[in-house]
Amino acid sequence: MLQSIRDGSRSWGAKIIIGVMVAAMALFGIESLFGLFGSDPDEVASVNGQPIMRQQVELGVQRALRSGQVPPEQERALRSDMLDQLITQELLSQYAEEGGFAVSEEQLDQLIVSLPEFHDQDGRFSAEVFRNRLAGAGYTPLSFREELRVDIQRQHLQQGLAFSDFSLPNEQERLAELQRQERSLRYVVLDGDDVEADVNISEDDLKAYYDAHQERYERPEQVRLEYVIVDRQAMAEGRDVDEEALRDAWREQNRDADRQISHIMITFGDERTRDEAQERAETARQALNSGESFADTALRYSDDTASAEEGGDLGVISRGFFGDSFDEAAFSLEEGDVSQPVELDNAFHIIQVTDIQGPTFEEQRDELAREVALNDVDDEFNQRVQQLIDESFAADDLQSVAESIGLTLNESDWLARDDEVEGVLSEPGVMSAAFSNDVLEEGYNSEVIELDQDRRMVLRVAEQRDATLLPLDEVREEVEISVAAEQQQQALREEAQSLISELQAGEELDINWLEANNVSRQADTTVPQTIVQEAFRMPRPDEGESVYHAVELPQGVAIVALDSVTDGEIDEQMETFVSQMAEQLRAQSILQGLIDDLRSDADIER
Amino acid sequence: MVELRSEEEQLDAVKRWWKENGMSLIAGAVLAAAGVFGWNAWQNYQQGQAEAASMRYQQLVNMTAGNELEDDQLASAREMVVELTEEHGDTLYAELALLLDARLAVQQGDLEGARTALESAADSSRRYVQSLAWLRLARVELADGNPTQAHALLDEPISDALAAQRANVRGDAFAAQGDTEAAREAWETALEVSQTQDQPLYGVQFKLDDLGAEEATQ
Repeated sequence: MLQSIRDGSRSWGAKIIIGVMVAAMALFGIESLFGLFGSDPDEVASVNGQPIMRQQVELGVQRALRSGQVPPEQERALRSDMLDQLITQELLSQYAEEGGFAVSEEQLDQLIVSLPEFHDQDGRFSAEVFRNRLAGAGYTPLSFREELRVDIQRQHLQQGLAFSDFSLPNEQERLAELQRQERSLRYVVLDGDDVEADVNISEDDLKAYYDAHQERYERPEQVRLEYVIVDRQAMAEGRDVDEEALRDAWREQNRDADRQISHIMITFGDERTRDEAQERAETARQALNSGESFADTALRYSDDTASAEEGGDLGVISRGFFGDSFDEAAFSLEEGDVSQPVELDNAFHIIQVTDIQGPTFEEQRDELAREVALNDVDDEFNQRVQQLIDESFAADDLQSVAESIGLTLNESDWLARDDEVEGVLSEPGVMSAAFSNDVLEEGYNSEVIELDQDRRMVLRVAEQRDATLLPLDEVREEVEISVAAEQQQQALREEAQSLISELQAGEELDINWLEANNVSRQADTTVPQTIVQEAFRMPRPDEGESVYHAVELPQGVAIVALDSVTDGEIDEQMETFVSQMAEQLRAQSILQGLIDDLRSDADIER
Repeated sequence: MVELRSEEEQLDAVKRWWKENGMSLIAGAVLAAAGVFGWNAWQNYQQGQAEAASMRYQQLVNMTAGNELEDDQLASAREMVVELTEEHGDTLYAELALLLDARLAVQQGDLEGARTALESAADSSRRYVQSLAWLRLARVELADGNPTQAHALLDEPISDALAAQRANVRGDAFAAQGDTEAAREAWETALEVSQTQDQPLYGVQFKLDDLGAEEATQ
């Protein structure tokens, strides 16, 4: 076989093919020969064979989150929207690309320079603002240009479709005419006061209503839950804390707090040797020991005469002002304490802390007590959680687990999947665990749910009941109320119809009409909106006649009399509004239509 | 294989091999390179053409986006349309330019001009552009008082994505013919489709309302 390859490779054809491959590799790199194999696991969708990668979706999501326009809890919804959006964008880009769309570097430059986002305070393009903005949004200049390029192409496409829409004079006239039309009407609302419905509810009525509205009397699937909680804070509350431990904690916390210090400085070098200086420092220290005040000692011994005048006061220092040896002394002292001499910059210093800036022990005591207690119960908490994990997994009830760990077994009321629950059960993940397959169907204890860093929960379904239609007897009262209301409304409806018949027959009736003349669709009136809407749907009355219509309201029934329809006054503004509105909505539909059209034909895999 | 040839022998072998194969290898490489460079040059040319079209198109869009144009602006917009359609005929730019041209004509009250532009756009090989052209052409015919012609255009295979607008214009055409019931039906369809496709339409409800609700008591 090798021989045949050798022979084959001698042929002209093979040599030319090899030559082409060599040239291709030289000119385009080795990748040009690959890219035909398999799909990437990071590919989340493909649009007509063009992949959309997980990273693109992530990047889009991160940008949206960082921009602050999307609250973090909507991240999941955002992620699926983002993929959808990327698919749409890809479709539009492909369409533009196939249509021969291209954007030159020059067009890009012009656009970038004109964008106000990249302008400095003087309103001129600034390369620095440009770079910073891009970095903030997670782009490189190159990737930004590329994205801008496809963006412009899509924009060109959409602009062409949208801006090319037009309004024709006949359409515009007709719509303006309808929009400005005015109607004069009268109405009266009949309610319970007008018609004393003779409410008489038979068992058959109840049954009929109940049967017709069963969806209202269905109870969804429900569970009753048992649950236990390991609560670090509850454990800590009962814990006594050692006073000394509190002091230690306070000291620990304020170890690095700024402090006011005084010092006595004894220099060496010119006047005295280091040894002499040290000796003098020791002397001063002994003077302090023997009860002499710091201020007096400073006056007597300190070479820093300026501070000595002030009792040695150096002011407030933070850690790191002076060298390590100085810090070590100054920050290990408590208020009022005096250090041994420390050496710094050709001098010995004796340091006194006169004030520690930070909360006092008393101020912090309660908070510290909580923290220390929480720390104290840490091991016990972890141990209990571990125990909970182990035992709840093994047990087929929760009672024994609660007893063994010493937890309270809580019980819930009946709960449905979509119920608004309160308290600890409303924490994220709790209800979904309760209705998960393992817990609901298999009857296992749930996994340990981490409610927050201090609480862990395990729950179990104690009882479950299927969705059911509640029997009539259980909901009788509810049904009765509904039937009564229905009968009342029916009586009103009949009353309205009979009045309308009389009116149509031309009878004069004593009706307390409310009048509304020349009402337009968009007018601000006291007439209920439902009545205005219905009045505009009624057929036009003949000259001098009226048209009547019964209109159902949430409470009661209205009789509406339409007396006249007029064209309303011609209004320049209205004309413009109408044609703009029509064009805008049409343009919007056209853009949506393009997307629908492309999607219906595209080969989208996700 | 014979090992340990002298250097001279190796050199000879290489020369011989080169004599036998060199020409064809060079031919292959030259052919490939010529192909690649030719292709690149062609691509560059195409790219240049496309970019030129893009520039023109952008100018045209910017002009039509605003309010009505002055005469000289209109003339130069028209020139751009001509340039785009003549020099970049098969691009989407050219077809969109025709649609924009129709708008310019309507703004001038020139229904004949709009008809010509839309008829050219309706020759597009792109279904959506074509559908849009038919739809707009039908509206122009209606404005010109030819409902029968409008119906014929609406019978063309317009993309389903535009079904709501199509039904709306269909209703207008029936209304123009005085067939109220058919108009009602068409507008009701328009309303229904516009809701399912989430493409709001202005005025359809008004037109329906004005017919008077069917169940209203006289």
